[in-house]
Amino acid sequence: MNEPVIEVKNLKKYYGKQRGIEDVSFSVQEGDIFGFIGPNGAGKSTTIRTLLALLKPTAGSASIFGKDCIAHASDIAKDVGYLSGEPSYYENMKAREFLKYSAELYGRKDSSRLEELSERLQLDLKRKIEDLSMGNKKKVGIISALLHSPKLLILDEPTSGLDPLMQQIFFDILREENEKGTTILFSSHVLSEVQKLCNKVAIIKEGVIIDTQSIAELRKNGYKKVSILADGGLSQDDLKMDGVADLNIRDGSASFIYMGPVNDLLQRINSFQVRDVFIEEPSLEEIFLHYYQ
Amino acid sequence: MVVFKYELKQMKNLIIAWSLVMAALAFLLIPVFTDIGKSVTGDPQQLEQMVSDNQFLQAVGMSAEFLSKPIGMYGFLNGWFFTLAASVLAMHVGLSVNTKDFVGKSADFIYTKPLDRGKVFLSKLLAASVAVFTVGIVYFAASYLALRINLPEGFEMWMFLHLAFSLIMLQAIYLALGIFVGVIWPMNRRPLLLAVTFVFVTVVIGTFAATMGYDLLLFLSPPKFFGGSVIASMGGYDMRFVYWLFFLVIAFISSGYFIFRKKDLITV
Repeated sequence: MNEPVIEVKNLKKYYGKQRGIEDVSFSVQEGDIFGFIGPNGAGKSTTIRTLLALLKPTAGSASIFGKDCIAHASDIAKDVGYLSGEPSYYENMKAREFLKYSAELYGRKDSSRLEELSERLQLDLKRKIEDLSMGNKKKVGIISALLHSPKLLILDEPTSGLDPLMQQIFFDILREENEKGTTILFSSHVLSEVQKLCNKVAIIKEGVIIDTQSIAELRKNGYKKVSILADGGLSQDDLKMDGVADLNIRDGSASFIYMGPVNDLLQRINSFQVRDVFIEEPSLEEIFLHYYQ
Repeated sequence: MVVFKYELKQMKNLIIAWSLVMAALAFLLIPVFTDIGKSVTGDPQQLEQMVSDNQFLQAVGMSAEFLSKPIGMYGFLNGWFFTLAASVLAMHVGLSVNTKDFVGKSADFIYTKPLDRGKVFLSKLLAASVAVFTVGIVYFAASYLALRINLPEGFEMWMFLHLAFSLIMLQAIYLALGIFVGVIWPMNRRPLLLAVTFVFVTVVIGTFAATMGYDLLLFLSPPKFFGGSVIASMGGYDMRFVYWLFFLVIAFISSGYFIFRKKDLITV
């Protein structure tokens, strides 16, 4: 098996006494589009910033392309494109000048890629960065991250500020880059976009990775979204069984997430005077909420 | 060199504006002060009396001997206006060359590029030095020309060189101090205010030390390192202060460099 592109082992980062991340371990294989999901403050950005050597870990290790992230930061950076969560650049520069600067930092002088990307993302390169909206600043960041055709893209909340149409174009670009062999680490708290784009996902909660699965696995793992409407109504006790989560009883009907043997569920449902029942695949959001219960 | 080039480009307007203002003020103020000098140096007794009666002149280290020289009033103007302005500029540039990336959150951009963090630091230091010393050199040239025009009878060249070069040395120490403070306090949002405060405090310490006779305290006040009266009486700089200044410049920059290479870069 090939060496992972990213390998994080028991990474811990404390800012003084304040927790950044407690215990983060995961690996990203070449060609993956790896989702990294969790709510604000869970430790996504801290993990990413440690991978990029902006922060020094308190304990644990992280490597990219088999090299230690801290010891070989500048070497690793040659093949990494990074988009920060809150892109902020030199305000008094024009977008073109800034992106030229970015390209030169990677030793690139050819502007054809810059022209191509700015055209696709509809970015006016003549405007000063201080005059750009949040969404347009994000586009500048996206172009800057993609300019040197990196082998690894690290994207921290990349879609915030982009309108749905632009998100679609951005996703198309990411898929194309991935088809060309680029590995992508995609951090987000918007699960639908992770679901749309990624093939694997790590879920982080309070600085700890609580699960790492493929998206398909996550869905197949027996999670069902169940809604039951029964004559005579239903109570919490009626559905007290293993595997039931997020139980919500309203007007005699029940909805919940179920993970377990389907037979057990059907037997329980059979014991009610069921008027209607829906068993469907839950969205990632619903599965995710389950993790956070 | 890419970082150096773009950093310098970002400071282009600042360099031009400061250079023009310093040169313009040199041409405006030097004639005024040299005329004052000519009017008071005609009568040595009156000058002696003026200095002994004026506590401010004593506190700022002016002596009748120094003021009696054709270049004396230039030394006063240089020491109490131009060097302080240039020191504020140097410290401001030293501070902001680092803090702007943290306050403006562009650190995530520049420090995730394929450049060693130390090299970025040194490129920024070089750009800041070029910016600051360009202003110093422009002032140097402008003040020389202004003196040549306004003192046709001539002036002591060695003294001019010592006085004008003291501005460059003060720029060096405040630039280094700015770099160091910028490293340990990167989220400072008011670099200009901080620079003015530092320069003002060091001036106050020096004036207090000179008035009270606490010589050791003078080592904490760079503006007092190269006073005109000391240059006149010693025939050059007090070398203790020159060595001390170089030690401080090296200490501030090297410690800033090593701290910066190791520290977490936090922008939030």
